[in-house]
Amino acid sequence: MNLDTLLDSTATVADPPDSAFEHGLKQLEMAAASSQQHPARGKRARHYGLLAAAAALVIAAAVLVPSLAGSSGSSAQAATVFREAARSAGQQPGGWPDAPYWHSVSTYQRDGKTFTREIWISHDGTSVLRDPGVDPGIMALGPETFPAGGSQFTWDQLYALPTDPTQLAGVLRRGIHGAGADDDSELFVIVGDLLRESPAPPSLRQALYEVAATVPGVTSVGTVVDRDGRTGQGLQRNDQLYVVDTSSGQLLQEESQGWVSTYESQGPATSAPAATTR
Amino acid sequence: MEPNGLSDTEILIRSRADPELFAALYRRHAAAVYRYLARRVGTFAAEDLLGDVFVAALSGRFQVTPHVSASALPWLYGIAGNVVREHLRRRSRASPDVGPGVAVVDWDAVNARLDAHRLREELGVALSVLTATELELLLLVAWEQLSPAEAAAALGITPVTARSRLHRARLRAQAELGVLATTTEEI
Repeated sequence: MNLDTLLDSTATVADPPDSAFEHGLKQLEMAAASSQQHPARGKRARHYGLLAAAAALVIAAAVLVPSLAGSSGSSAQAATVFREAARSAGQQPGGWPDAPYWHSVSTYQRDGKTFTREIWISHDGTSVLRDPGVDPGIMALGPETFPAGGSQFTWDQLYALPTDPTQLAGVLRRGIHGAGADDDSELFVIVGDLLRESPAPPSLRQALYEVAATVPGVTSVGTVVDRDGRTGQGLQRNDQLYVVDTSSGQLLQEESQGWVSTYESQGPATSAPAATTR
Repeated sequence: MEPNGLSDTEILIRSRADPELFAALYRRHAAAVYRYLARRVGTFAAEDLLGDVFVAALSGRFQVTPHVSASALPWLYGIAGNVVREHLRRRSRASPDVGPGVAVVDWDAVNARLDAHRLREELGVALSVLTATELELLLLVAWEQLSPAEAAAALGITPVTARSRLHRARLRAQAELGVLATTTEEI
């Protein structure tokens, strides 16, 4: 059966029976009455996930068309570009196995407006997000992990990954869990998953780019100017495009299915802003 | 006072001072929240948890910063997800694995509400290959009809990440369905 048909046909449930509706209403009314006597000030804030903030999101119908300069190149060229980025990434200072937070800033566009997204990923506590395109306040996200195909890594697991490209590719391919028909596409996407908004140390970043260099079917699309006017090299596989600065090994921008995110900065932080409480 | 003409946002703001206004939000959205619950934990537990969701929402009304002209429904789904997780945690004290990364679905209840054996089998097989995040993304989009961007913000991931994960989740789930179809034919 087609997946959409399957999901459609399993979505059907009846409306609540009157008794359940009335019971819930009574429960709420009692809570409301007692909340009036004891104002909620000082009550411990519960974590509601970000759906809270998602309420008014509207997606722009316009599809962003990548402005790609240069002509298509071969897989071999793409591998060369990735290896150059790998070398540069590996030479960067750093390694943050004990940082409390990882702070990343990126921008994206919607409805013709540019929004700045800031996320503080907590090492082992609650992460927070500031994204005016989602909510005017600062939102608590709960614990965050780093996605990699079928698996998720914690911060510490990220630091335990092998930095030998062959071994790393082996671990990542195992994590794919037989995803889809095309493990190579999956692996290509995982590289981006672990580079963006991620405290991966320089040695792991280097290995990730080297893994990307081994993925077949990647096209070098030449020089690309990103939304910030920075120049990088475009590397594309199917609908996934990375723009990489080969001199620093930084992931500048990526595009997937019409969505564009531009990565401004990322780095360790000792603290994060408190989630908005009003 | 029946604030039927007020937007969800205005009810949320006014209910800070006047909590009884929250009943209007209940009348508006109780059925949808109930369906969210019933899809994941079955009608029996949904009846139990419906009031809990709104009581939790009531005490969370100071924390939500609503959008202009927004529906409170996605926010309520977020709260419902936490209530379901708490419900599953209480029920399975014995298995300490029920953490924040665990999907908000009670598979026994889902199987019980689907009367066609074929559907049960297909759904179980297709969704078993997904991570908790992928599953939540996919179900919020497919069952609750949220936009991918709403679901992205819900899970604190970039729209690009959500799109690609949704895309991959679909491919994987569809591939599992394909395998199932092939093996069933062989039998």
